[in-house]
Amino acid sequence: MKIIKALGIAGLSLLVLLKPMGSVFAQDEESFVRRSLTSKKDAIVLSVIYPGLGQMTAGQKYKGISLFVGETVSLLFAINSHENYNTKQKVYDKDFNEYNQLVNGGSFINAKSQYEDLKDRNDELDNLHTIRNTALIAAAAVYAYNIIDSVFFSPTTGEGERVNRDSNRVVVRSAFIDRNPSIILSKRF
Amino acid sequence: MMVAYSCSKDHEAPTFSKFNVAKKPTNVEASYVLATDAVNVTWDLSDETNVVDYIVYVSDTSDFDLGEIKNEKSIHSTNKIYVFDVAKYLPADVDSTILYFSVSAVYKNDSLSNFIGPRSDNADSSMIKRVE
Repeated sequence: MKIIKALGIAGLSLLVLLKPMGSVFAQDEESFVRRSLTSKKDAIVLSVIYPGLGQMTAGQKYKGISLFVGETVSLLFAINSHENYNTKQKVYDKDFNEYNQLVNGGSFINAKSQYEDLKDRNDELDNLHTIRNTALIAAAAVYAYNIIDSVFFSPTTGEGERVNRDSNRVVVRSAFIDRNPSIILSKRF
Repeated sequence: MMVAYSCSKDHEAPTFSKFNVAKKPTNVEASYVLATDAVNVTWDLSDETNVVDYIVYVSDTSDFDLGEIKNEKSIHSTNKIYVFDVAKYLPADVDSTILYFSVSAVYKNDSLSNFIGPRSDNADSSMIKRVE
């Protein structure tokens, strides 16, 4: 339970910390490519901290946002169902103990009605448990994919620098201008 | 670690098997005897294993929980007969009424301690009419 709460708090803290980066997210893909000077190692570290961060800083904006949202939604589902489960389980345990005490001077009528009630609530707890498991497995899967992606499929530092280098390179090419052969020197700023 | 944590289940499913040993009495019959101003209640039980007592319920409606004389009970030995003293329960100015009777067995064994079993299905009625 503490782990789940810590993850929830970490996720929310990251959301708050990342708020200033909103303007960065809003820019187009090209600007992200230019900003991909962040080293691959940094991208991996960011991905380890929270899924999607590494991809976003490496220029894979949509993939990064998808992973970030996927992880956050999964964790929120897990936290919510876990809290529901814990709250209902406390009441269930109390009533379950009372039910077991019916063997001492209790009656069949009470036992029958309490059994039916507990059975329904047990099914409800099972459902909450399944939702929590599914959400946690989804969160773990997103996290694992995020790590694999950042290690094996994210753009390398070299690619980022090459993009940068290409954009600043002086280009020399030949061309005809007014039917006269000419040489054009160009540099992109 | 996350997956291992998620697999742990902290709640336990309820079971009813320990209560299912209790059987309900059958053939409940109530007959009013004018001479003694009492109702003789008799019943059967197919399996009397672990039965230590019987409880006879008396009500003035067939819906026992709504009756004015509700859940009046008397502990019995296993002789499967109860003499209901009408004068003890009804005011003297009541000349006639209908009373309903139902019976439960009380169980005691390793897992049950004075557990009141299910009530008999048929709550037999008896017409009581006092005469001068």
